[in-house]
Amino acid sequence: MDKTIMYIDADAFFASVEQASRPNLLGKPVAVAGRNKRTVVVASSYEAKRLGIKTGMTKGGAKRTLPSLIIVEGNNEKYVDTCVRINEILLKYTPEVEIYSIDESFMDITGSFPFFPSPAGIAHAIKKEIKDTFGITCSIGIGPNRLIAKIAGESGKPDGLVMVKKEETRGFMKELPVGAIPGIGKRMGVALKDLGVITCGELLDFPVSVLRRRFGIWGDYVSLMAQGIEPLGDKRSGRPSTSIGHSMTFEEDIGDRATIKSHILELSEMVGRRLRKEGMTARGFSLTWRYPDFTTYTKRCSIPFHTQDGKMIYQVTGTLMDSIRLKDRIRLLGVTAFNLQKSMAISPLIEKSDKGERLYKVMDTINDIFGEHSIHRATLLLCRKHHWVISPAYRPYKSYPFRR
Amino acid sequence: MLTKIGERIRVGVVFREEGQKIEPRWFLWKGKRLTIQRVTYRWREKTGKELIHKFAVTDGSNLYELSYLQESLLWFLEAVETDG
Ligand SMILES: [Mg+2]
Repeated sequence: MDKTIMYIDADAFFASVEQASRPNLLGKPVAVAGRNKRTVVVASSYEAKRLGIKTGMTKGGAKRTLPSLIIVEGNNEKYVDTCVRINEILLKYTPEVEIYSIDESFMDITGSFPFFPSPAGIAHAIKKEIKDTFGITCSIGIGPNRLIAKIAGESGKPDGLVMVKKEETRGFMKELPVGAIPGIGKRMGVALKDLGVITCGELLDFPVSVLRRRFGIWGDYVSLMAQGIEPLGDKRSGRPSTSIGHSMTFEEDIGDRATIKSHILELSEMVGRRLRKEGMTARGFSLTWRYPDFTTYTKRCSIPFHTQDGKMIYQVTGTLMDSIRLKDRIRLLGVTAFNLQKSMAISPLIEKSDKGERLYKVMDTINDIFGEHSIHRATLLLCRKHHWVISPAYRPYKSYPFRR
Repeated sequence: MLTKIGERIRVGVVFREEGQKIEPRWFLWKGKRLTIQRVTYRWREKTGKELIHKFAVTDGSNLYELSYLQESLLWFLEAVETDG
């Protein structure tokens, strides 16, 4: 049996979930954004996309583009829970499910056929169950590897089902624009066009040596991908995330360094907490800042050891901020940890040097029981007055039993 | 228009499949008994250890968000959305 990979992608995921929840939004242009009045559109319904709404537009900009647009506040927990439940459906067909993003998964169904009739049969059953359970549609691609499955799935959106057999791969790829290949962004697309390459077929026939000279190793990769081959092979799925980050957009631009740094501390603590939750440590950290005109910069720094300690992260990111001469006020800040590895419990070499670690253990336990931000550093009181940018899997919530 | 409410309410519920499937049928609010025509969406949230079951429901004219706190056994009317 040839390897068979299925790619499932929920159509306009956040917006579809909102439309399903609120039937009065069905058939209307809907955009999902954060609560903060200055966050951007993170998803939009097909009705909105058709009328020019794009991810990343500011709320105001989107409204100007399309005055009839309905902007709803996103709810991360709702999307994360839906993602979990969609993947529970997929797990009925194979244990080999890889959650690729909040609305995309890959399944290796090679071994599923003694039990299920056919790939298309599985795809139809999944589409039906997702539609019946959540009231949303998804697009499915089936192919001999993840690359083809994904490209096939993307090509059939929305509510599509596209199947490409191994022997059909070349023919399927030939006519597609190079932009269909994941990893070929706008910039590379333009550069390829300058070389006279518009379709994957043309890319396939183009000399690799020229591509390599122009794009480095990516030249080799895209040439392989144009043939439908995954350059990095079928890398073991379930690979741990390569970075963990949080960012926040402020209600009003901030210029005061003390306030900026307290937010950096807050973000560093959030990143530390996520690292500890996922059992990871990191050795590289970056600070991202955005000016009111949307120009965005990132500065990174690596340290010689791995950590999951928010205060340590802050020492790095805070120092990065100290080294920056800000040219304006700031609209967004972000902290990201990279160079991740699984954390291993090591006994402290120096007595009491694990004080910080033990403190975090207690804080984590308290926050696990009573909810995020039940206990935090007093410095963070300086920055409690904003709402969070929608970011996957994170949204602190009011403590219920105590609220009224 | 969405209005946040956050009031504790009494709800008539059918628990099926060993409590795995929770089906709110009606609730009392402002002295009225509102019959739930359809649960349009359901999802779970977590606050600390407390698991919260959320329901978007409609009585045919308005949309309501209900939440059920599994540990405390409390129901809340979170928000009401009226047309227009
Ligand atoms: Mg999608």
